[in-house]
Amino acid sequence: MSKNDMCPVCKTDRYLSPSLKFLINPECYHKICDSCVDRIFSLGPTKCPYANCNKVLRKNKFKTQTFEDLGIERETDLRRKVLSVYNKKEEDFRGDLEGYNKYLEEIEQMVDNLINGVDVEETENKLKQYEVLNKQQISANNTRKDQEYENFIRLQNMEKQFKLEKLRLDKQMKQEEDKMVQLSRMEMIDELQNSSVEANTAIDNMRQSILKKSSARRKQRDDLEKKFLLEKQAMMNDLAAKEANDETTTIPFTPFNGDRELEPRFNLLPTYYDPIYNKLVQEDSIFNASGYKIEKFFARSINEAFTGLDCIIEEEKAF
Amino acid sequence: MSKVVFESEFLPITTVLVSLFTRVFLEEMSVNDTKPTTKRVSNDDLYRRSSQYRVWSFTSEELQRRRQDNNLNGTKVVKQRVDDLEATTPELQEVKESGVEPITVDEEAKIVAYYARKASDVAHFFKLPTQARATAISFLKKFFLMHSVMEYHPLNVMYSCIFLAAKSENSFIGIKTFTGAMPKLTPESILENEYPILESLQFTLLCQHPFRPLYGFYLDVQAVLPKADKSRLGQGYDRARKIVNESLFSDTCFLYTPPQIALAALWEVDSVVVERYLARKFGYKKKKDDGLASVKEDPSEEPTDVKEENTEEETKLDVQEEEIKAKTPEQHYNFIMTIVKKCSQHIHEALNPSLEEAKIISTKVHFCLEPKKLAKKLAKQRLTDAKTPEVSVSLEAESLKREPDSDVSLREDLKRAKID
Repeated sequence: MSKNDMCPVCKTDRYLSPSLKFLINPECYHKICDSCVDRIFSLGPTKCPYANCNKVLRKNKFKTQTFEDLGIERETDLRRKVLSVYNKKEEDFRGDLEGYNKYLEEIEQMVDNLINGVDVEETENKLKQYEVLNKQQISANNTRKDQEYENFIRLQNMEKQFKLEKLRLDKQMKQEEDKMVQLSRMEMIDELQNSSVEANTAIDNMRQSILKKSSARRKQRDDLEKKFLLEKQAMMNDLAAKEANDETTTIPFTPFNGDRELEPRFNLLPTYYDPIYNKLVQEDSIFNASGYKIEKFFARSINEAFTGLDCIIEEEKAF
Repeated sequence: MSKVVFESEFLPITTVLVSLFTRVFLEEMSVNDTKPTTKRVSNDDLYRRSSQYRVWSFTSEELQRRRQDNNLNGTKVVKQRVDDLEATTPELQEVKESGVEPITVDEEAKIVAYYARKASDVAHFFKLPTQARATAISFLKKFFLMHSVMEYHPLNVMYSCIFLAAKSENSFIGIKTFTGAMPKLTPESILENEYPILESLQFTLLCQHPFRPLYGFYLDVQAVLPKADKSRLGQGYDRARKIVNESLFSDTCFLYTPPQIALAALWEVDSVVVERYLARKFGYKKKKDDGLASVKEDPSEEPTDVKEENTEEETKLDVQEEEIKAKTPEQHYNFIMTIVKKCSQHIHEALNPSLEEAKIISTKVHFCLEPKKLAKKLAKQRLTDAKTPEVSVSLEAESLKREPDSDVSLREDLKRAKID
């Protein structure tokens, strides 16, 4: 029997009580069995029963251990605590990657401080201060997170329902098919026995009704599939619309906050008179080798001639 | 706007940018309010976003004010230098008491213009492309718009500017090749100025020069006036290029946009073609004969024109952009012509100080930079006076004889450049 299977407080072990469960408290992370927790802490907060541990523990803070390694358990707890306050997402920074990175770095620094016990008090204070200062934003972010989760669950539920419905229809169809096979077999036997017209018509009627039913089922299934897809699409659209509403700028990005003028202020000729450049480009194959086009040079020059022509510095700069 | 830019000496550059951007943004908002359709960005708007417009365009008053401020600063620096002297010899004492004569604003402008022309010669010597040459001159002018010559000697700054411009315009010269080709230049003397220059330029290295717009107009004239004589246009272009070259030594690059300077140069060479071209371009039909004749032959009429245009323009200062679009062809034509005429006047104001003038100012600059030299000179003068009391040597002549080595090297550069 290993040490892990014995409660260090009451010395009960797994051998005697197989339902032994261990709980820990995030104050000190000492393992105590659940019966001890009940026994010691039901009357209110008390000191940890471990020797040399003076932490005061409360019963409602006890929880089952998730990770075997208590170090990791502690780290995840601390991280959760910090992240519940520092809960911005990358989208909140609106493309300011550096700002977001700084924010992440800050979080990591705080978590690290808390884990390694560096400036714990200062870090705690900082956390509290941040919480007070950004109360509204934090709660807004939390509700948003909750809503996102809710949406996700809704989508999943819908999918599940759809699958169930489909399965049921499929099953029914299968049954009816089986019935058809059976009927045809019966018909054969009937015919072999005595070819009475009555029996035949009865069976025929039956078959007809089954066929009708199965085709109806198939239609139903197709409808269901269509409906599901539509619903899913609608939900996605809804989400997208919500997100778009959050982002106030729905205008597509243009480098200069607007499109260039539609009508250029000049018309380009196919060719211009310039004996020097034209000759140079025609005769020297080096110019043309890399796809150089003198027309581009002409266009650029003329474009520059109209870049700033109507800017009157004397007036525009006069305030 | 100009105020904001001026404050940038004291503010971190980001603040300036933010304020500029918010301004641009607000403007756009107001435009968007009136017009729900998407805003079109014209070429002029693009120019308004360039550093040349944002940082290096001024009104003439602003330009003058900056120069005066620089000069005041420089005078203070010189005074401080003189006060810091230790009066070990009687001459030093004398210098300390009398002080060093500061450089005036006009002298500063002259010496900078002189070295700008020098820079052009040196750039020719290195066979730098026009773009790099113009950029070097532009750097030099911009640097001395932020500093006084009493803080940095323009000679050293000039070499550094050329070196830097060659780098920034993609026609790099190795530092050893560069210093090796010029007498008495060391790599350190070039490189030590690089950072101050970059800082004064506020790290805006891109310069738009009038050369390409000039070529653009030469081409566009062919499109707009297809019947124009090609050889006449070509000759006009070549001559206008020379004028644009000259404009590099004037203040036009701070006061006007490159296309305006280019048009002014073309207009000066061939006013008939330019006026017809602009009229056709803006769809303004004027009576050919009297229109052209009046502009050509009545220079006395020009100033009145200018004034009228100005008052008219000033009233609609705020809604600049909208106005231009709303202008009738005639107004647009007149408005461009006014600018062109003003600009061509400015080109003629380019300073071209003689070697003698430059030498005198340069000596003064040296004394301002190192007041000790003045004391040494006084001592020597006393010695010669004691030996030959009859011959009174004038201060100026003396200074010319004992002019600093750097000016000798300058003259050599000139010779080289000419030989080349």
